[in-house]
Amino acid sequence: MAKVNKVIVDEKGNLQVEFSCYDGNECRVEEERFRRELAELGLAVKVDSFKPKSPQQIEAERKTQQQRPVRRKVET
Amino acid sequence: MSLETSYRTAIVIPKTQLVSDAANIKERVRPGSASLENLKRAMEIVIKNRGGEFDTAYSDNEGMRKECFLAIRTGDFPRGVGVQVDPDGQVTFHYDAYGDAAEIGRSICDEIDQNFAVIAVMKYQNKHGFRVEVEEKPTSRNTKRVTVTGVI
Repeated sequence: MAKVNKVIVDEKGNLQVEFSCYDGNECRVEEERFRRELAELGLAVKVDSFKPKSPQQIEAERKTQQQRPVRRKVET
Repeated sequence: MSLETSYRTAIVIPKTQLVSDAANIKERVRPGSASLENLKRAMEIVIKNRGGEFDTAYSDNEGMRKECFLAIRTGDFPRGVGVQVDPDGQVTFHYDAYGDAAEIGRSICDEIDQNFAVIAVMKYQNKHGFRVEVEEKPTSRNTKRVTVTGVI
């Protein structure tokens, strides 16, 4: 199943992130890499909240994933 | 496993890049590091959206020029907003808010912060092979919320 990082950037540049469909501890590894590499790009981040998703949320994601359309790649 | 997280952000030039860019910052030549390039790009987007130009100073309400590392003057805020890079890499915004009841200066700073964050997240996701989709939703006349979704 595809892994998804959904990042909402608010009006002041603060972030809300969902890391979805990772196996086991892979999710925490990805979260740490995300923070570390954003800092290398000049965006220092301070954790405000950190919450594992519930089994119900994860099951809902799996169903949504099966219906997800193909996404396009955007060049920066 | 899946996670939901939230972060407060600040633009901080990493020390390694700060050393290599020290001369650029002092002499105000073209930014060389990834962080400074991102900053310049974030400011370019504001100019594109509002009209305006780059400068090396902003002005106070009496018209005095205040030199800084980089500044932008926009059509709706011609005094401009200046950017300074502190010795520890912290990026700070400077402008004269006198008479700016509509808080346009502040909204320009927020817009630069937001653009910078979107650029950094997109670069991260592209680097790691995510397919990236960006969606913008206006939240008021001059503000928006941006969702950057990466799938791999």
